[in-house]
Amino acid sequence: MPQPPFIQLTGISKIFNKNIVLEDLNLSVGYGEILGIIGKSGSGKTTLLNIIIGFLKPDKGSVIFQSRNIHKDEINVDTQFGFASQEFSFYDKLTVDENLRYFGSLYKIKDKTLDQRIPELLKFVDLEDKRNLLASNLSTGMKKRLDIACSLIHDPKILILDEPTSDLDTFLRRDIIALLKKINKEKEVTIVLTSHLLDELDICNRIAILNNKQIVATGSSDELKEKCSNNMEIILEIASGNYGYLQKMYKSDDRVSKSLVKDGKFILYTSKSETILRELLSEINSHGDKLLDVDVNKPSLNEVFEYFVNASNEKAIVTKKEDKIKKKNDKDTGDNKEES
Amino acid sequence: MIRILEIIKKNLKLLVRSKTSALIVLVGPLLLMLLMGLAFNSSSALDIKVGTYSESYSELSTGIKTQLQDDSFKVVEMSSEQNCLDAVKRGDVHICVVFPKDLSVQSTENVIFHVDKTRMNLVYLVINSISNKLSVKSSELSTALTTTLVNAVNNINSDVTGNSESISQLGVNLNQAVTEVNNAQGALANIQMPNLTEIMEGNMSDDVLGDLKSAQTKIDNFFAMKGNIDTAINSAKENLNTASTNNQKVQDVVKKINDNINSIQIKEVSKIVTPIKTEIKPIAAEKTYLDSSLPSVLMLVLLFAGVFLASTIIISEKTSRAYFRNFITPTNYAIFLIGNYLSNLLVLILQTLVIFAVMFSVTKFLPSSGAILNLFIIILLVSSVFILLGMLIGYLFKNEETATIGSITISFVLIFFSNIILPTETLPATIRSIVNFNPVMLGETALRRTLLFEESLSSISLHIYVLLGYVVLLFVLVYLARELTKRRVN
Repeated sequence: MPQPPFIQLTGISKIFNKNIVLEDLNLSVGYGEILGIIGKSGSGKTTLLNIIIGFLKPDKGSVIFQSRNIHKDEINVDTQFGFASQEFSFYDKLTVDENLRYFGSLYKIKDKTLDQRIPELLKFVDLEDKRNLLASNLSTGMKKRLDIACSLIHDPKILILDEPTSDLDTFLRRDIIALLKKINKEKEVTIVLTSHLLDELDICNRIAILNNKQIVATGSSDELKEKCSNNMEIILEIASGNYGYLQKMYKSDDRVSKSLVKDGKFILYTSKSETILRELLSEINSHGDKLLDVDVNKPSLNEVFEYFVNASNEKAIVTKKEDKIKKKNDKDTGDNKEES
Repeated sequence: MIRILEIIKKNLKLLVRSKTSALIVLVGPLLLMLLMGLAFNSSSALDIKVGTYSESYSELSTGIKTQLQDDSFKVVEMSSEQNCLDAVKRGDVHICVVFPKDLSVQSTENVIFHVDKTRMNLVYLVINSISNKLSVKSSELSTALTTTLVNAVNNINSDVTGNSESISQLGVNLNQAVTEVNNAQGALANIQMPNLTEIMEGNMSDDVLGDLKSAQTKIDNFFAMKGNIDTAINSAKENLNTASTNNQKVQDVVKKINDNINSIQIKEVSKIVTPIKTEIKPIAAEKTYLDSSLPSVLMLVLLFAGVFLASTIIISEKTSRAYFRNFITPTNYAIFLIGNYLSNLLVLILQTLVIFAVMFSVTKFLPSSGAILNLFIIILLVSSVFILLGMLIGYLFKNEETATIGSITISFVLIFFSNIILPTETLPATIRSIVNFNPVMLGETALRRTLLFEESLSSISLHIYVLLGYVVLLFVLVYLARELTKRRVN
């Protein structure tokens, strides 16, 4: 029997001042997984997270957590959810220990428990030697770790992270990603994170793509890449360096979505990679050219994201046009009826 | 309870660790009291600058100037009346006194005071102070003139009293003279003319006869003159009678003068110059300005510290990156409200203690043990009102700038419509009846009556109940404002 989702969002809509941010959005989060939500800036990722933790109330739809609506069960949500926003959410003028103790007390954790938990947590996030340092004196990476520690002080079941690595350099980003993996694995905490940096989503068990107010695709990294296999990438390099005849060949071929020459290589995107590759090799041979290198790649996450976003946008445009035509037809029908 | 304590601890730590805030909160009232101590720790008059002008200073106008020129008044002689007026307009001097040319007691022209009535809070104080000073000089002049007058009257009185007997004696003498003249006239009338003719018909020698004839002639002459004598006596009598009548009149006038002078009961110069003597006695023991202004100072500190500190803490919390994390914890916001309120209250109580400590060290003024509890209750209520007001501002405004403007505006409205700047008696009755419920007014009055007159709480129960009402109302409003801002986020 399949396990019910840990969190289930159904038909979520959120409107800010007549501006629809989310519309009829559906999403589920499984127990113990790391779910990454990607979307362009302003696509509503933070709004979605705020709805998940119950900070914002959706105008339509429901968020079910462990079979209970979170907006009717706020205390349960407060104690089981940990949240770290894009900005550090702690007091700069308190020490690391004081911050953790203060937030711990707000979760009604007793002093004795905190005495035990704080050192453990600091060790876990590698801040044990910074315990008595003012938060303002920590480095950016340390601040991020303190922020995550503050989110974990009450031992939550779910950790929600809004762009956890957005302002960090590559090394710090790698540290934080490693820490998140550790939290998920060792503490068995379900993690939901948003990002616009696709590289860091490699740690996610599942990825949800948010575009046009909805989740347009969900699945593991491989599943998503598979879904957009029409974007297989063929990269080849020939001795002559003259790719004109190849470009001409696929200029108006429906099987090829895009072709270009970049860095002395010919790059082509197609869903029929095997057939096209055969054709390419044959054409090169017939021109007496020499093939130096050839590579066939699955699309990168960037390309997957781009693919789903474009598909979603096209769909939206078509829907919009259809709606317009339908409206016009309805109007014409109405006018004809009136005339008759 | 633990959570409230943690919130208070956190707020105080944040306050102390932010050097500027700590400086303002803790050193601010200390500095204020130090300055006030230096400025107002006396009960002497104000430092009033007086501009004077006269076309020609007389001895009297110079005397008045000298009188004004003492420790508390600075007299500046102006070159023209216009300069003098301009100096008042510029605020270089508080009042311009224009003396008539060659001022003397005989002068009919007035000494004119030019004042700037736009400086409402100062003008009456200056007029009062300078009037007091001038009345002293006026009194001196009046005393001198009255002394001369009284001395003259006294001299007249003693002269009249000394000579009234002579005048009476004169009357007696005149009457006696009249009697004697009457007697003489009578005697003269009784004198019969002797007839010597029969004698002369007898035998006698020629010599004798000649002598008799001569005598007869003389007698005849005498009798011939008797009529004239009688007329002269009558005239003399008449004159004597007139003199006697006049003398009587003089006696009557002298008596009247004497009676009139004697009827003047008050002959002391000081009594005549100032017949009604006044004395102003304070209803509480004489205190310095610092003591007397303590309720107002306390109110100002509590108002500004309460409103500004509370609004700043709320805005800092709202705009803090940690606010979000507070919000998502399972802690009811009422606990945050109570925690923030108690943090502010602690700071305000600390400030009040600093004020009293400075007060005691400077003036040795300490409220009586009975007043301390009452004072604590009033300070608690007043602080609560201002803290909750500040918290309300903090929740209603979106950022620190607008909250600061809001705090300043509300604080100034509260101060302006209280007795601290202008007496509320200057306001129309309708507004005054509203202003009486101004928490600054209520607090200042309650503090003054408790601190300076040591009245019991029951005598200011109305003030206490109204302040208590404000506390409850503001707490509800703060909670609602908090809910409103929560909806704003949603």
